[in-house]
Amino acid sequence: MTKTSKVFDTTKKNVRRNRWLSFATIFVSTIVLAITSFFVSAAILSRVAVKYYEQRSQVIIFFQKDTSEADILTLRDKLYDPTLISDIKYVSQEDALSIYKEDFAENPDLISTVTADSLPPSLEIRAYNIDGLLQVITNVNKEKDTNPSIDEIMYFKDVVDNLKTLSRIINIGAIVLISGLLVISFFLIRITIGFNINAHKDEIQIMNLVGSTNSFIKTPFILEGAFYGLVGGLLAATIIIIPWYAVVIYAQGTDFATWLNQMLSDFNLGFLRSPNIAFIPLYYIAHIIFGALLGVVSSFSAVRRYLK
Amino acid sequence: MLLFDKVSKKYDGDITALDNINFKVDQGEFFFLVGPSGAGKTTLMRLLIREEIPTSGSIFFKDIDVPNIPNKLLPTYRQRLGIVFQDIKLLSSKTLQENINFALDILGKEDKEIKETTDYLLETVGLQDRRNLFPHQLSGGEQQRGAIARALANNPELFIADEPTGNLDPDNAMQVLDILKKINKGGTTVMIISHDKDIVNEMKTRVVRMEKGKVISDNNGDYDTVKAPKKTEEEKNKEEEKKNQKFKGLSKDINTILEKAKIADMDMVLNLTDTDLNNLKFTDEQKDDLEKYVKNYLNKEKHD
Repeated sequence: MTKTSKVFDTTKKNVRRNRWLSFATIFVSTIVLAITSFFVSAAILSRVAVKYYEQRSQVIIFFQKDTSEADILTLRDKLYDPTLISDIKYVSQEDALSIYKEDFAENPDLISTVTADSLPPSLEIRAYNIDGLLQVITNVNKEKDTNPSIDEIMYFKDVVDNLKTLSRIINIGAIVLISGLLVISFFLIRITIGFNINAHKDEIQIMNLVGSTNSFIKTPFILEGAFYGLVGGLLAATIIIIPWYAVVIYAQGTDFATWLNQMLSDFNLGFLRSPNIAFIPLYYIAHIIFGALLGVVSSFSAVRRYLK
Repeated sequence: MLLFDKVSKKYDGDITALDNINFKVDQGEFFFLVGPSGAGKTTLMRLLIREEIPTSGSIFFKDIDVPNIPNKLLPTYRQRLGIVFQDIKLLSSKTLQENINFALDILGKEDKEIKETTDYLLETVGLQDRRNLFPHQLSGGEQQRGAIARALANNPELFIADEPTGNLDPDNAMQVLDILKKINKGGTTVMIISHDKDIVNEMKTRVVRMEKGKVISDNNGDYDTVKAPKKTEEEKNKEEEKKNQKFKGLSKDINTILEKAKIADMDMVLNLTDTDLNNLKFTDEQKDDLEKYVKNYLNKEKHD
């Protein structure tokens, strides 16, 4: 048996022989990691949602009806900044009529009186994020002062402002929440593993007296921590993902499912609409690695604290 | 091999556990450290295994200055000793076999060697059929023998056992003693802390007796024989010096001058004049010392 496999063997025996303590440590790790995972997922989803709405927000520049297409395209090229703008689209008078007809398809009276000439050409601009959009609005307003062919600039100021505030709150909130949960997880797991080490303090003293090196004593405890974190991560992933897919499957065919599916498609989170072979292993691996790392760091800290 | 030189240990500043302990042990010796409870025997062992550090004095194990071993090297030092603790200290979460394996594991031994050594040691202490039991499943005597097996696993240079026969019935105690004799025959130095008279008397070997933190006897013989420990050269010299010093309280230099001038008693000192002192080449400081000495003497005489 190699030195490494001996350490693993010792760890395995320690876990097996201290069943209740191992069970308690895994239980605490699972709960802590599940709560952390839940809130981290919620924070990520919120961030994705805000990003989606940020990208959907647009500013529309309406031109005088007699503005030539060439002038509009020149302005389009002038305004285009690839670092800010994700999409800039020219909408001709004919395109505007098509959109109008589509929007008011159920109201033929409104359509019959409108022709392409009565609608203004426009540029629709989308930015990568809300800060980019605000910068675009500033640039366009400056252009309007010198360019008489720009008739009107339209954007939903309240929506943009609210999105900006929401985006900031969610960004800061996510950082604070995730950091807080990480610290809490670390300490809870550390205390639990500390109890475990404390229960072995007499043995640790004996090991020292008969000539064990500190690393010889520490390594099995650190591996034990990694094991508890790993199992905790695995169980935490299970108690989140299984109920999620159960709800998604159970709700199929309902209005809720339609709304959810639409939202998840919009957010590019289609893999959450039904059990996904590619996503599930990644989800588990992320939880296992995170749990094991947290277990190692927590037990390392606990071992240092309790072996002093 | 082992030297305790003026070793003292005090707790909380004023509780003296050991007071000026001096003795040495040669390679391959078998000796007992005896004495009543509270004599300081276990403290002495704790200092030897560097569980504690003496308040003053030196302990040398071969060329190792034990109290000053850096923490990093402490495991290596302890791996050279075999220790049986008074309270046994087997690892409760490991089986007897695992306890012995553990002592070999920390030395980085190969599996084959670990297995062979463990088998040999379990056979030596007669516990082959108990190898898979946990300490709490063993009797007191079995635990004691198990602890001896573990202490022997690293083939120690010095084997120390604190009350290895405590709480054992005479048969078990004799069995343990036989094992210790075997170990000693193999060349290992053996130090037994005990107050078991029968065991000590059975061995008829060196017995160091401690009382109230001091070594009061060091001799080859029985438990009850009390013979003052052999004096070191330094102590002998000091005594000789004191004996030769006629005028106690006076410095060695003044005594030497007086001795050379054949001034042998106090009456002769009292008759010394300034001229005599100058002739005897007394320094001013020495004259002052002698004057003080004479005054003290006369005051004492007057008081008496």
